[in-house]
Amino acid sequence: MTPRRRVSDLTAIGAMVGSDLRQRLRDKSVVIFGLVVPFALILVMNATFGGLNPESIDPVSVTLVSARDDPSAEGLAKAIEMLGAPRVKLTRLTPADDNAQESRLEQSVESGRTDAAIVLPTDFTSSLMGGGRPAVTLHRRSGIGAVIVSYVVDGFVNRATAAARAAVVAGSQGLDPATIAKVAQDTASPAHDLALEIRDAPPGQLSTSGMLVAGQAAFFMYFTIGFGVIAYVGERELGTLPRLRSSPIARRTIVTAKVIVSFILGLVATSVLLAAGALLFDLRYDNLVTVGAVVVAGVGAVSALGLVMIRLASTADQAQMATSVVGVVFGLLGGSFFQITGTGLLARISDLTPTAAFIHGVGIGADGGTIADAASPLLILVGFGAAAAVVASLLPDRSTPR
Amino acid sequence: MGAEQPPDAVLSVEGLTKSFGDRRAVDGVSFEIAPGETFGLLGPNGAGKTTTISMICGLVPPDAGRITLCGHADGPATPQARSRLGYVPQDLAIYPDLTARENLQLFGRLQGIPRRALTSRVDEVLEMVGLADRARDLTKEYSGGMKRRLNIGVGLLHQPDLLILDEPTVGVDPQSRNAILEAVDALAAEGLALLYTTHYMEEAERLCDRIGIVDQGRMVAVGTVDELLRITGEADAVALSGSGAVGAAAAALGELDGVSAASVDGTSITLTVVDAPAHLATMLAVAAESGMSVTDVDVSRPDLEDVFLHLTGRALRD
Repeated sequence: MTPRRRVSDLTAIGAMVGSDLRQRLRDKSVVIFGLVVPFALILVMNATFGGLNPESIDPVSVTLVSARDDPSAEGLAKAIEMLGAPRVKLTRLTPADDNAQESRLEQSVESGRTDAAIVLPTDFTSSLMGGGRPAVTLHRRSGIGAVIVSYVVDGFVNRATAAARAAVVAGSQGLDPATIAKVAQDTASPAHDLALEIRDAPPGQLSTSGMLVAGQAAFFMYFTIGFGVIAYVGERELGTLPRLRSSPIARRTIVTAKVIVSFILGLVATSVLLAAGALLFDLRYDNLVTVGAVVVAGVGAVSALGLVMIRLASTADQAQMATSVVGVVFGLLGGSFFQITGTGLLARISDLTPTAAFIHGVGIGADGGTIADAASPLLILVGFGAAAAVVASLLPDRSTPR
Repeated sequence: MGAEQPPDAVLSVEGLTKSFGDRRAVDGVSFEIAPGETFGLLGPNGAGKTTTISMICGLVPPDAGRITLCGHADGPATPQARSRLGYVPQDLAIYPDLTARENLQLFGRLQGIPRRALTSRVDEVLEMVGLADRARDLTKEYSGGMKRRLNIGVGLLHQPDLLILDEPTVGVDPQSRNAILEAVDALAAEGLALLYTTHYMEEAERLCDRIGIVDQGRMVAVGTVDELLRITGEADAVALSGSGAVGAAAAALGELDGVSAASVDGTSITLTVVDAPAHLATMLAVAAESGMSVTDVDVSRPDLEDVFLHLTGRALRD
C-alpha cells in the first residue's frame, strides 16, 4: 500500500507551480512573448523616439574669439558654459594678428574639429556702449548641439544690445557715469539679480527612454499575466482540470497556483526588462527598493486582474484575446506609448490604471524617491488588485463540466 | 434495483439527480459497488454516464441524491473521500509538455504520496502501463495508445479503493483498445473495485460483474449480464449436432423443463431454451441417454443490445 498523507495547500500549490513553470519554459512562449518581443519593441521605439532625450545630445566643442578682458565676452562665455545640455567644451582665443584666423576657424568647423566658432570684434563692448551694432560672426555645423549654442549667442547679443541702449538712454537723462555703467551691466548680465529660487520638480519624471522602458514593461506585464490565465483555461481544454479537481486538494489551490505562476513570470519579465532597459539606455534607478516595491505591486495588481479573466474566459482563444484587449486598453490609457496629460476625466482615469501607476512609481524610484514618496501609485496598484480580486470572487465559475 | 446496499460498499449512490437548465441529465440514479467488483454503466452517448461520474468525483454538485464513498457519507465533498478514488477521465488528462515520469510525479504529489515513496511507486506504475522505457520522453511525442495507458496509470498511482474509468477506449485503435481492456481485466483480478462507463456492450459484457443500463438520465436496469438478459424473456437457441438416435434425443429433450421447442434437421437438433447455460449439462446427458452422440454444441444468446432495445425501444448506438 502506497503511503499517503493529507495534502496541504502549500504542497499542492508548490507542485502545480513547479510543473507549470517547467511547461512554460519548455514551450518557450514565455521567453518569446515575455522577454524577446517586448525588448525588441523597446529597442524600436527608443530608436524612433528616444532621440528627443536632451541627455542623448552629443557634447559640442565651441571656440570663442574675443579681446582679452572684454567684459561682454566674459558674459557670453559664462552663458555658453552654463548650458547643461548639450555639454560644452569651450575654447577661448584672442584675435590673431593675421587675417587667416577666421578662415582657419571656418575650416575647423567644416572639418568637424569644432562644432561652433564665435568671433567677437575686438571693440565689441565699446562699440555696444557707443550705441553701435558690432558684427558677431558664428560658424556652426549642423546638429542640434550647435543650433542650441547659436541660440544662446543670439540671445546674448540681443540682451547686450538692449543693455547698451539702456545705457545710452540713461546717459541722455543726465545720470552719472557710474550709474550708467551699473544699468548697462545689470541689463546685460546673464546672472542678474533676480532672487531665483530653484526648486526641483517632484520625483517621478522619467526621461523619454525611461518612459519607454517602464511603459513597455508595464504593457507586457499583461501578456505575461496572460500565461497564467491561458494555463488555467488550457487545463479545461486539455482535460486535466477534472482530474485536478477530483484530487484531494482544495479547489482554490488550482487557481492560486495559476495566479502565482503569472506573478512569478510577470515579476521576472518585468524586472529583466527594467534592468536591461537601464543597461541599454543608460537609465538609473536611484532607489531600487522603491522600484522593486512598485514592480511587485504592479505585477500583483495585474495578476489579480488575471483572476477576473480566468472567470470570464472559457477557451484559450478567448483568454488570449481578453489578455490582448486588456493589455492594449490599459497600455493606451495608462501611457505605455504616450502620456495622457491634463485634468479631465480621461486623465483621471488614466492615473488610476495600473500602467500609469506603475510608470509613475518607477519614475519615483528612479529619482531616488522612497516608498513613502511612492505611496500614491502603490496604493493605486494595491487597490486595483484588491478590487479585481473582489470582482473575480463575485463572478460565476465557468469551469464546471457538463 | 439498488435497494439493498452492502454495508461495506465502496460506493453507494442513491437517487442522484442533476439538471442543466431545463434538461434533466441524471434522474434518480441509484446503484452500489462492492469491494473488488467491476460495475459497468452502459448507455448511449448523452445518457448521463459522464454527468453521473462527475458527481461521484465531486466535479459537479448533484441537485438531489446521496453519494457514500468508501464510508464517507458526504461523498466526494472532502479531500479524504476523494483520496480514495482514482479517476480516469474520458479525455486524456495528462500534460503534453511533461514527461510520463513528471506527469506521474505531479499527480502523485497532489494525491499526498510522500516524495520517497513516490519515486518507487512511479517506477511501478510505469512498468505496469508499459512505459518504463519511454518515461523520460515528453508525452506529446507518445502515440494515442501510450497516452491512454499513461492516463490510466495516473488514476492508479495512489492505489485507490475505487477506480473510475470513463469510456477509456473511445477513439483508440484496436490494438491499444485490447491492451487497455487487458489492463482493466488485470486490475479487476487484483481485487480493485472499478466503475467502468462505456457504450460498447461487448466491453461491458467482457469486463463487468454487474451492469447498470442508463438511458436519458435514468437507470433502466441493473444486474449481472445473465440477469439482464433474462429481462428480455427471450430464450437461447441451442443447436446439437451428432450421430445416433437423433430423433429420439429430440423427443426426450423436448420434454425437459425450460425447453419450449425442439426440431430435427438431419443430424442436428435445434432447441429453444430459457437460460440455456443452466440446462446445458442436463441436455447433453439426456441426449446421450437417448442414444445420440453429440459432437458439436452451439448456443446463441440474446445480447445486451437486445436488452437495451427491449427496455428502451431504441438501439444502443442510436
